[in-house]
Amino acid sequence: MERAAQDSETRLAMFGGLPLTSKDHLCVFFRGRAERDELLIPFLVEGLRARHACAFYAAEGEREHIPERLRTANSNIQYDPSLLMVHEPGDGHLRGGAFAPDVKLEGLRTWLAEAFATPGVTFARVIIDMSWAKPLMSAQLVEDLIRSEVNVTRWVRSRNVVVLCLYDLELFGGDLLVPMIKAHPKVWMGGALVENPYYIEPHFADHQSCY
Amino acid sequence: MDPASTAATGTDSWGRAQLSNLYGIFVLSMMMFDGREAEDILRLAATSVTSLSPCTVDAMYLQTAGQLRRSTPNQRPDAALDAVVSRLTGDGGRIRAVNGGWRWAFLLRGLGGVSGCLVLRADAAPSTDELFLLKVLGQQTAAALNSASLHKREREHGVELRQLNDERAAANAELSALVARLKQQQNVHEVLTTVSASGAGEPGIAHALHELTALPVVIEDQFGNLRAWAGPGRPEPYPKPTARKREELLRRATALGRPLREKDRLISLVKPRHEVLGVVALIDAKRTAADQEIFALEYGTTVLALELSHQRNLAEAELRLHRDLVDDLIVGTDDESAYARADAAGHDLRGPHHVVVVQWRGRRTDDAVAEAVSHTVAGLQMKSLTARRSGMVVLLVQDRPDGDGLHQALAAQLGSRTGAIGIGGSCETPCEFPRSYSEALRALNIRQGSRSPHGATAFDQLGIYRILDTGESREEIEAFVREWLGSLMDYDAQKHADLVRTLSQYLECGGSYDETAAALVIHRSTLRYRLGRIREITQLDLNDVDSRLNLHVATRAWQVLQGRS
Repeated sequence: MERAAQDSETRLAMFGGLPLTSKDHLCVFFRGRAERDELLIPFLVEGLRARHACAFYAAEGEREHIPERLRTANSNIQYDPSLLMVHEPGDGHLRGGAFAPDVKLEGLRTWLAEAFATPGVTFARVIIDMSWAKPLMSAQLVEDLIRSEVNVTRWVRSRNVVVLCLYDLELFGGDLLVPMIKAHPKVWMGGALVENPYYIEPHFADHQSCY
Repeated sequence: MDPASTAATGTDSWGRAQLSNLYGIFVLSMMMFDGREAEDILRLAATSVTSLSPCTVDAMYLQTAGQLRRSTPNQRPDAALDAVVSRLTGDGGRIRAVNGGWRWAFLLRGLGGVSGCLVLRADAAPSTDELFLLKVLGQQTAAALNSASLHKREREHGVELRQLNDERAAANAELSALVARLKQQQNVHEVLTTVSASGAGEPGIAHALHELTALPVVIEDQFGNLRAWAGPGRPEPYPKPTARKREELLRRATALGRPLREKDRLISLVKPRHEVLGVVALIDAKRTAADQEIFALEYGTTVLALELSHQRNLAEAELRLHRDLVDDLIVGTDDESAYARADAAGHDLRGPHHVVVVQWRGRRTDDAVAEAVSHTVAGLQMKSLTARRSGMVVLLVQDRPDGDGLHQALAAQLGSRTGAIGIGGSCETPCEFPRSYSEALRALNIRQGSRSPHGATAFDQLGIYRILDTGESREEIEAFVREWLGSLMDYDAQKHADLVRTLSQYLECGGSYDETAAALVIHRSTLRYRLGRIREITQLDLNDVDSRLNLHVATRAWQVLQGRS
């Protein structure tokens, strides 16, 4: 009984029909923008209804359309707009055209602190569409992304939050996908949530090259 | 950290990294099996190589139509490498690198055999662990390619099966439609054949066609006369087209070779051989007639053609018999033989008979005229023997025929008034037929030579013409006419005057000024002037009985002669 109560407490979110728990850091593979929206929009709607703070790092030019898509998905939705933050790459993590992982993480820290200061908000959902990485692909970017994901994993562990990194299979090949699989504790793909017990632990990454 | 701990951490780190890589390949494998195409699977494997080893991809091959072919068209051609790859066996192996370094060909072999090949290159040979990962990647890729190939084959089979099902469904539908059509056609065949065999004739065929098509049906003869109508909407009186329009319609229908749509009608020609015997038409103002109705119309036309051909053959046989008999009768034969043969032909020669000759000008064929005569004579219920002779039809008619009535009926039947009928004198016995025939011909000639050549003339009605038109005394008659009217004829010829006709009309009107002026459509004073001129030119007294008689005979003879010229 105690275990069941604990489970229901930790299963705070559903994604693609599967339960997520607090402190989850997922690598999500999808095919095309339509499939992404089918997963993303219900996830945001559910979170906003539950008064979860939601941050969506969208693709360029998407910010204006997200509220409309939320209403299209659910015409009755009513939510506190301050709970939804939509970022575009130019806002921080891709400032000046180059990947700035520290800026992104610092931005997340600040946003989360402010969100949790709001009365009644105790849980947060962070979704990052990684499509911005496609035109910048290089061995160095892969290395930087691994390091960034490892840091996100570390950051997630101490907070009441889930983080989803979305990778479009129509954009990326194995050169990025394999390292990202290795860098995430869980992988969601085709309706299955697969745990990765051998992901790159932050303390290993601190001691040696991750790649 | 103590060395032992460091060593343990290093081993742990190696194991974890290796497991993490294998986990990566596992997830890649899941992606490869998500139903993507072979080219995508190979591309995913190729792009993953750099994340598992220090190698890069030199070339990729896919098995296509029994041969390994490069999967990326823009790859630099390398015939030597292609040849090496084509000779590979087993799982492949190390192959020579042209510029030094390490080069390995991984043959992607699964249950279905070789499905592709990845050729990798590196500056130095990868470690055993890295080679292991690459081999695992290759095996997963081969399995995924094999699966994709099976999927593709399954999809193709599915498509083939669907196509076969579609084709079968289409064939079934076509067959069903064909069976339904055949059933309908069989019904048409049975109904019309039954009607034909029942002897119901044209009305029966028209009625059956109406029942089959639910459309009014009309049967006409070749001239446009109504023969039968079935269904509602029969016009009264039945309209008849002009001969020219009718001929034009038949010409178009003949040229078309199938039912012709003409205004609200769908027309089919009854034309068993070269001659059009009639027309069958569906009255289809709403244009609802489809294939089934057209089939019924065509089949009905065929049945009617057989019916009419049969009738025609009987009529022709009868006509031949009649012709022989009539020929003999008008040439002259003994009475006993004539009675016997006429009895055999179903005609009673006893009692008064008249020979009638009919001649129609224009584009009508002798057959058409003969058929119209037979039809008309039957319609008028005249008892007769009919025969066709060159250019005319000869009838031996019991009792005195109504010439004008016969001419009117024939004109209506043939759609043209351009014919003449001559009626010979009465015969009490067959031996008198040659005389009556000769009289009929004379009456016909006089009618055709007269000012109104279209109509009927009986020899009995010729009066003075019977004496004048003897043929043998022509020169004498011409001299007689010349003697009494020569000066007036010359005057008319020189002055383009009309004095002979004026005199003729004056005498025909018994000397009445008013009647003569009205008949000639001239003023009374003009007539008086002309009669004055006639007296001056002829130097004759028109009131003198002898002069008047001779002038009257001469003008009648002049009319006959003028008609002949």
